[in-house]
Formats: sequence, structure tokens, C-alpha cells
Amino acid sequence: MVFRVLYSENLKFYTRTRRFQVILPLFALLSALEPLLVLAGVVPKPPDVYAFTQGALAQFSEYVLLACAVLAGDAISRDFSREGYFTLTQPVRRSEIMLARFLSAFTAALIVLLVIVGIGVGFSEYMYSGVVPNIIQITLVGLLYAASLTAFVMMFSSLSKSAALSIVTAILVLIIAMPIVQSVVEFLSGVEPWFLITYASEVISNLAQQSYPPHLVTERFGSRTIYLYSPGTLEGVAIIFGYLVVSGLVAWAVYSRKELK
Amino acid sequence: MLVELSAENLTKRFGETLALDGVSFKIDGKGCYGYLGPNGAGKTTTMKIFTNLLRPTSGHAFINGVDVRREPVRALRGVGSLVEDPEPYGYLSVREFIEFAARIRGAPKPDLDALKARLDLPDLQRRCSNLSKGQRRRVYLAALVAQSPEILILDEPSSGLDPKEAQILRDLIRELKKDRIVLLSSHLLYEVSIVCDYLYFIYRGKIVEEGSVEDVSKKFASKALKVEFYSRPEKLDGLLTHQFEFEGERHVVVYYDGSDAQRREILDKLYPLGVRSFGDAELGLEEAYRQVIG
Repeated sequence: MVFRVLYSENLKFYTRTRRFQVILPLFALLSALEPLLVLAGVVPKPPDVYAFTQGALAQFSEYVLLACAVLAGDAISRDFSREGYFTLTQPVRRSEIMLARFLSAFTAALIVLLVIVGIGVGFSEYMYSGVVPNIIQITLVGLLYAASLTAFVMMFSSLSKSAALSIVTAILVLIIAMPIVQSVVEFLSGVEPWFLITYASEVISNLAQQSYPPHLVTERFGSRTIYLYSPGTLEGVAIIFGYLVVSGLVAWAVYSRKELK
Repeated sequence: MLVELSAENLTKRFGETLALDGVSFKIDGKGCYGYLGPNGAGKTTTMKIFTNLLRPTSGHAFINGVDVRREPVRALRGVGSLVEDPEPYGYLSVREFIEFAARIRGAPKPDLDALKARLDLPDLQRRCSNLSKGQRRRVYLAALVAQSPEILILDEPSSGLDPKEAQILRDLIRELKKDRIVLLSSHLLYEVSIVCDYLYFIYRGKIVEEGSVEDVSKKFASKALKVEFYSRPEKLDGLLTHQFEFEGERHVVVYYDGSDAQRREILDKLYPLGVRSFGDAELGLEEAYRQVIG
């Protein structure tokens, strides 16, 4: 009962934020932009549905990442503002508050995600009279990825008193730090970056390919060997799920002990 | 049903700073209990420990016999609190926030019209983020009332309110204290003297004095003698060894240790100067505060 009240109130919070009201139409517009340019004859049409879906999914991952960061960035840190003096003094377990926040932030991100998927599927049907065979798997892994990112961003939120700081930190880590680390570790050192969620998320676009890419491709550039890893489907899902669990536990451990000084 | 609030040797450290130093008290009857002290005395720290916003370094805070630290959900079940400067959720309307506050406690749907009239609430459809500080505070109080708690913990609730809003608040507290415990922290002596029944003076993290408002006032008043002369007395400086001060032309307040011997000594010295009347100075809480806390 209390959980349901908390969930519905928090969902109301997310859907009423300016962030949500901006990113939903913005991402929908951006997702539709390329197909519209194709239909207008401004850019060439991708040769098949696989190429079209791959192009759409390249943007999709970024949108999911940004939506989760922007929406979940203050999921916990807002309790360390004046509103927290109400929330945290209620006879409610912090675990319930956290779970309600997680699910409502995830639901808000899900709305964004489903709108983007819907637009992609709609254009795919219109332009190619069908979708890639793995569309269900792609959507399911996309959902898990969104849930995991939400938990990951909540972890930053639990460590910060400022919503803006946790949002910016999460975006910097996910969009700049992780890809840099991945490049160094993967391309130059030849080590599989299995510990990065951004690496694991490649599963989503890999599933859209006609044939799933091999786990490791090496290429020689002069005296240097370049390594290019692709996560297996199960491996990618396991990494993404691992992030969900570990981030959730860390966020919970911090949140449950935090004091309002 | 047990309605009780007690602190057992509560201690709280923030690094090197000792914010609370073994505070103990027990409140087990209905009424308003004032928690009085200057800024930094430990009032808010105590309130935060009782509302699970802080954990004590040692000691225990019990609400209805339940340790707040160990079982916060059970302990806070019957508690409504206003600590520091809380705000209703800005994204909700006044109506939504008050209804949410009731729903989260499983309380019945509040009579919003009655609350609006009682607390002079703003338009119920307005977003809380668009309200003034005083309006937000009244909406917050309305939410507390809607939750029907049996214990209210209020930390300087009139801070930042204009005189009219402060009056509404005092009227509300006077009404609520009839059938519940209200623990009210404040440094406003006037407010405390008219709404509280019992007082705890806290200073530098310790409770240094306690008693009913009347007893405390009397106790400290009895240590001062107010003497009225027929005309302004001269040469008091050389005559009295005790501290004294003039109140107007003909009244003098003389401070002493409260003993009969000193009282007689003072009066013996002053009688030749033309004493018209004398009695215990009605210094009340202000003097108590001045003497206890400085």
C-alpha cells in the first residue's frame, strides 16, 4: 500500500519535471529525423532493414543513457534537500523509498525508450515492410540496459547532495570516461573490457546485425595489433545485470546510512 | 495507549564537536513541552535524532518505548515532525500534497475545506513551488494535521513566519496539545511562555534546567526583589552590595541568592530610603533564560 503510494507519487514527480517534458519530444524528434531525411531524399536510404536498424540503435543507446542519467540523477540526492525532511521522517523503510524511486525513474525512462522504439519500428515497417528478426530481444536487452543505467545513476545520486552534480558526473562517466577506458583497454592492451556497461551495451546493436559479430577480431596496423571485442549475448546481459545488482546494492548501502546533518 | 517520548543519555558528536552531551528526559503526558536554548545548543540535533534523520553517537531515543535507531518505522508511526526548514513537494498542488501526506500514513482522507479555513491555506490547486515561505509552512502543518499523529515534534516552527502566521501556528499548537504530546523547540520566550506547559533548557548539549513554566518562572523570579520607592532613591551604589537595576524612576530590581537572610538584609538597607512596596520581581521566563543560559 505504502509502496504503491510512493511509486505513483514519484512517477508523478518524474513526468512533471521539465527534464522529462523536454527529453521526450526532443528524443522522439531526433529519432524520427534521419528516417524523415531519408524519405525526403536528402540522405541515401540504407540498403536493408539491418543497416537501417543499426543506424537507429547507435542513437538509441545514447538516448537511453541520457534519459536515465537525466531522470535518475536526483532520485536519491533530492532527499538531502528540504523535501527530505518530509520524506525521511515518515514511517517508511528507506528500501521502499529507494525501490519506488528506482521503479518510477525507470518507468519514466521506459516511456521515453518505448516512444523511440515505436518510432523506429514504425519507420522500419513503412520503409522496409518489416523489422529485424531480433526486435523482441533488442527491446528486452534495451529495457535491462535502461534499468541498469538507472541503478548506476542512482548510485551517483546517493553519493551526492546535489542533483545536478550527480547527473553531470553520471553523464561524464558514461559518455566520456568509460569509452576512453574501453578504447585503451580493448584496442591497445588487448584486454576484453568486460567490466564496462558501455561495452556490454554493444549487444543491443549486435543483435540487429544479420549475423552476430565474432567475439574477437584482430587487425594489424604496421607493427601494432588492434583488438576489437564484441560481447556475446549472454555475456553482455550478465554484465548489464551485474551493474544493476552492484549499483543497487551500493546505492542502498549509502542511502540507508545517510544522515541529514 | 502509551504515548511517550524519552531520551536516555543521548550523545552526538560531529567530528570534534560535541553537539549533545548525555541528554536525558522523559515525556509521558499530553501537553506542550518546550525545548529551549540558544542557537547551537543542541535543539535541532535532538529533534533530528528523534525523527531518524541523525543517529546518536551513543544513548537512545525512544518513542512509545521503541528505539528510534533500531526500529525507525515502528517508532515514527505516530509521529509528525517539522524539523529545520522542510518544504512540501514543489511539483504537487496544495491539495495533492496534503492528501499524499495522509495516504502515506493510511490516515483517512482529510477534510481540506476545514483545514483551509483553520490554517488559512492558499488556493488548494496552486503548486507548492509557487507559494511563499509562510504559505508553504502552513501547507506543511496542514499535512501534519492530516496525518493525525499522536506526537508532534516541531523545531522552531514559527521561524520566518509573519505575526499573523505565527498566531495561527500558536493557536494550532494550543489546540493540538490537548490530546497529544507536542515537543517544541524554540528560542522565542514569548511563544514558549504562551503555548508550553513544561520546559527543558538546553545549553551546550546539556539539559541545564527543567520544570513547568510556572515553577521555572517562579524559581527565578524569587531570586529578584522589586522595590517601589516614594521617590527616586539616591546613593544606592554605596548602600547595596547586590546587583540591581532601575525600572523607571521609582522601581528598583535587586538580584540576590533567594535566601531569606539576604532578602531581609536588602530590605533593612532600603527601608530608610522610603519604600512604598516590595515583592518578588515578576521576571518570569526571560530572567530564567538569562540566568540559566546567559
